[in-house]
Amino acid sequence: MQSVDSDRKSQDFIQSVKKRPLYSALVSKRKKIRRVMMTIMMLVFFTVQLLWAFFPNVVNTLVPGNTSFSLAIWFTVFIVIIAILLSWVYALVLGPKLDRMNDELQKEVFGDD
Amino acid sequence: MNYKKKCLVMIRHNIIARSIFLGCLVGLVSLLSGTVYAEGAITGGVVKQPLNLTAIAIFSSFVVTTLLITAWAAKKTQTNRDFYTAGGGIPAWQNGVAISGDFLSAATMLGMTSAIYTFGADGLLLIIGTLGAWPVVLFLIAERLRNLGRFTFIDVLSYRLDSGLIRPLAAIASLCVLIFYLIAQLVGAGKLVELLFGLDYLIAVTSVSLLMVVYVALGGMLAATWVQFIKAFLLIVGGTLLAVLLLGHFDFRLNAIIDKAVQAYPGDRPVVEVGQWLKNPISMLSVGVSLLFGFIGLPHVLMRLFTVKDAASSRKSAFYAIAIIGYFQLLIVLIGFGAVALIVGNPDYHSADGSILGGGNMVILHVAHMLGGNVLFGFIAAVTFATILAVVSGLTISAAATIAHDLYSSTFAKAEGIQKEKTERLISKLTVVGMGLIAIIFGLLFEHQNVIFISNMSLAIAGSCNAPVLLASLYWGGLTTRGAVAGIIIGLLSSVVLIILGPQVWVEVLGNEAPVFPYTYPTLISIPLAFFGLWFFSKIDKSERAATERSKFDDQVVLSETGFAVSDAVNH
Repeated sequence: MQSVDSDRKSQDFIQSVKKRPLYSALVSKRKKIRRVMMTIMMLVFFTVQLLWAFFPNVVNTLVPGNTSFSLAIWFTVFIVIIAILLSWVYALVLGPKLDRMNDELQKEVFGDD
Repeated sequence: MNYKKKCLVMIRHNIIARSIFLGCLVGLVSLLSGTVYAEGAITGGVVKQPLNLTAIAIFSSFVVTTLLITAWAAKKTQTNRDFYTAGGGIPAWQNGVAISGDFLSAATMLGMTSAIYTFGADGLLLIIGTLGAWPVVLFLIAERLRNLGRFTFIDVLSYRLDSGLIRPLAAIASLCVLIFYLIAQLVGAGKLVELLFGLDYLIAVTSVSLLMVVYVALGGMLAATWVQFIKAFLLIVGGTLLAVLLLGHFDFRLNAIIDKAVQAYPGDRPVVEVGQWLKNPISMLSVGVSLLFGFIGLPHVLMRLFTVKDAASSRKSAFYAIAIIGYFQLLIVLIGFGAVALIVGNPDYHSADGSILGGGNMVILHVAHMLGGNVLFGFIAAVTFATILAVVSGLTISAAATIAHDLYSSTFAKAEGIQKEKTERLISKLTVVGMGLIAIIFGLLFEHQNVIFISNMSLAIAGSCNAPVLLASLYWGGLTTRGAVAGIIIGLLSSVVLIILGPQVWVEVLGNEAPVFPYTYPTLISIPLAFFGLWFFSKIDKSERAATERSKFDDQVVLSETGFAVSDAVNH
């Protein structure tokens, strides 16, 4: 990412970036992705935490019933997998798309000068 | 090359050569002392193990390799940016491994296995808490932090807030976290090395501190990252090997491991059931919240997000770190239950009175010994020592950046230009030496203390001070300097006071009958209080400065979302 000289970081420069439709699209897309990702992760995290704290009998249920594996173990494995999976989607699937939008915006902004 | 330059190069080479010599000397002294003390008696309730030559050989190879890397890194470390963030030139994947290394400390490896061994399924709560925190760092912090900051997360706070007020205060909170974390690591390290290598506590603490100073003072972040990278690689190899051997021992049947663990576990409830450790729901939630916010606010982990070239690399680093940490945590689940299956009731690993040899933290090493004999035991022991060394190096460089960059350069410095940069470098190196001394002194002072409350304090302060103000500064336009100052002070005071009034200090350290505050982790109270302080004092702030700060939020969003002016944006 190239840096800009002192004039470009002025208010004018920032205002000119803010006005661009591509910038608005980028910010709104980032916001939406972050919101969805955070909601899923926190929902999973706090559901497990609350079950653990207030419904231990549920967490202690053996699944499958004829084994010694409790839901506590499965929940742990699930949290690990969901954390890795969501991170992968965010960092390597959706992230590069947003990077491309950002590159386009950069070309648009610096191409104007 | 002129004479002066030649002299400087000679001095630099001389320092590097001396450092390598010093490292080898420390190793040699440790070895000799170990021979003397190997037969030693019990110190502070820890039974010293016989001298472990395999462990010492493997660890010495690690030390020599990392010192050579430090010598190479010292040549490449020319500017402050090189020193603090390796010039922002670390590849994302390597940085990801290093971040995972920062997190996978000895406490994680030994402590989490021990928690499952002791408390059964309740130990899994620690894994859930940490894995919940990392995606938050990725989704909300990694990219914006990289785009707005330069060396530390405090750079981000001072983008639109009053730097003169916020920097010193945030620096104090960060230093509390780093020093408490360092003490906990060092005391643990001393005890651990006593156990693993048969070395004396003083020698162990001094060796770790000296090596830490050499790595960081000479090689800066580049050396610290390589040390962390190599250690993380060894840790993953060791953990995988242990898990494969464990599975092999049970004919690769997971069921067999868990079934055997259920049969062997001596607790009131089966090992796979929760309720052994934390008896009430509030304590359980407190643990989860402490881990969630605590890890978000660790300065030495946040600092690593600046060592890559841009926000995309920062994001990828965080993902690689999460993948590695997640993988390792799954190994810990397996090894933890495997330890219950193999070690409980095994007379080879218990003393005559029935207690486990060396204490609960030795469980993973006993498993290594049982499955792979002295060689695997030595390997895991050496990796554990390397782990401590790498983590304290990361803590030290973060402390150096906080004092030299946040306090001196950005708050108190009068000089400008090259002179300022040179003085800042000097101060950062003096800080590293100072941290080494603090590590030795506090390591000795706290030798016989239960330091769990210190590490809790560190996590609680990180979660109550750093995390709320960082999140608010990145995502809430209404935040003002007054609100941020109030939030940090409230978070700091409430977390420290509640820990002191809690069971770990009020009862166990001060000897009172019952705690004033009933919970070990105070974060369920202190974090909401910190957020309330941020919100309330920002809302009632009607000053002109507050209006300017609020108006600058939109500009901050532009820079943080696009990464334009990534280096200039931080010259504030």
